[in-house]
Amino acid sequence: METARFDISPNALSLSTSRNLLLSFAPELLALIFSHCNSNTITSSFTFTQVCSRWRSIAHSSPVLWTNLLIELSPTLQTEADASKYEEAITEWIMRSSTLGITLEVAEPSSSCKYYPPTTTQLDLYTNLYQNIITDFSNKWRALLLPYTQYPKDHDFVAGIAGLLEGLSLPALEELRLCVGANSSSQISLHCNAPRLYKLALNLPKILPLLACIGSYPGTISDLVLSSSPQTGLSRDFIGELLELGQLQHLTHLEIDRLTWYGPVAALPPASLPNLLKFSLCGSISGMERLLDALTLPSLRSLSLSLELFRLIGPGSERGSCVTSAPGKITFSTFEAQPDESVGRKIHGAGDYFG
Amino acid sequence: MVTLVTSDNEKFTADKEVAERSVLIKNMLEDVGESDQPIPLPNVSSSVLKKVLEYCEHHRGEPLPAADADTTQDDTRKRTTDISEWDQKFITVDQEMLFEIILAANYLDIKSLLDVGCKTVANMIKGKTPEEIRKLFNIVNDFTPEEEAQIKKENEWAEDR
Repeated sequence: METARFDISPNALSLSTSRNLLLSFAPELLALIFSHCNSNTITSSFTFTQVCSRWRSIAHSSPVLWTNLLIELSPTLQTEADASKYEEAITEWIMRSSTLGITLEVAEPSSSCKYYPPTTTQLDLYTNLYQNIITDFSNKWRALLLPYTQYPKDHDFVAGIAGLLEGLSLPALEELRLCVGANSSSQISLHCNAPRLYKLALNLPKILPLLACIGSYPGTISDLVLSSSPQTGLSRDFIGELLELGQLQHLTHLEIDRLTWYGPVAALPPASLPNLLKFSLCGSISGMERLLDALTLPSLRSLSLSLELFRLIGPGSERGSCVTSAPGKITFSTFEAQPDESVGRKIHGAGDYFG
Repeated sequence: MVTLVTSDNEKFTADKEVAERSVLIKNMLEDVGESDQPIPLPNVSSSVLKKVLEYCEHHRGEPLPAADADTTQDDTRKRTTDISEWDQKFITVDQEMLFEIILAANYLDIKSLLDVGCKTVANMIKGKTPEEIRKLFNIVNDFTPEEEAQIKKENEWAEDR
């Protein structure tokens, strides 16, 4: 939003004792106040649009108030007619953003139906609804935050979303969060369709080769988050393929959650991430050791390690330690975790690192 | 030191560093150069300027926010209504003073103070029904029947309807 500064007449304040000053606030100033009352969903819409006609008019003509939208599975979404009305309401919201880009978040069905599981019909309506919205306004999305969920197990809620995105032109898209690899149709390939994409967060619920999930990894990415379910983790081969792609040179932030390799595994191909400033890593000691050993990180400023001992096998303890052995290199050698402290225990290490 | 003259002709002196928390005053001082000339502030009364200077004094030396800080779309997503403890105590004033501080912060171009004021009003609005907001700020419901119908339609999706 432009800074809400406006000229007030010298008389404005002298009249303050005889009238409500708030009523004389300029539209820009009221819009600034409204921007701090941020609701982003039509299921709990802005109450300030329902106070008086002036506030309503100011709110509706302030595009910046309409640049964050959360779509939820409303319990009232029961029929095609409901879906049509819901879509109409969402469309109105989007149109109010005028020429500005929108951050669209699609809520997991479970988040809005905590006490009454949605029916298959509701899930179908919801799936169609959010997919229609994404398609119809593909040029509006500055960020798309799509569900990570595989809930419910018998309804492929995120089915085909990656394929849907692949066919779309997403000229304004800068940030994308989605689940890939959950089924055969969920490979993403965004290289050409999202030229401004720089922030990518992928949830990978199954152990799959990298190229089964990411058809074309955009080399423009500078902020990458890779996460998986606690049960599966990211495989050594997946990480190996990612490093071999050689398209990570723009990364400034990398978060990996989590690596689940235990015991001896083959070394990873060496890779340099010349611009990486911030690195967060979660997983087993073996995984972290192998990965850190393979990487050269000459620009690193912040390293955060989170050790997961959720499947410690056999006698003895896993050991490792994060020390610097040369500028830009990290060696893992004396970090220690006892097996009797095993299941579910986390050890966090974080701090500034100057290579 | 800088001398400031309020709308009710009261004179205040303040350290230049404190007064220059206001971008308006900073620019005026740059324009007039080295001068003992008092700076007139015809839109700010003495009671309000006293509060404003108290705020500037407390935040003296802190980095000034960039002109376009907190104005990008990404920032609107992350925007919160958190207010620091000292600022909260400072802004615990009656409604009229609160609105006057907001207007003065806007006029004097003190972005951080403007944010504190706007967040405070936003916090007063949050969680209230439209009727409660009207009552709080003495606002008249002037919706046309058409607007009322539209609002009713919007509320079909409200969780707590």
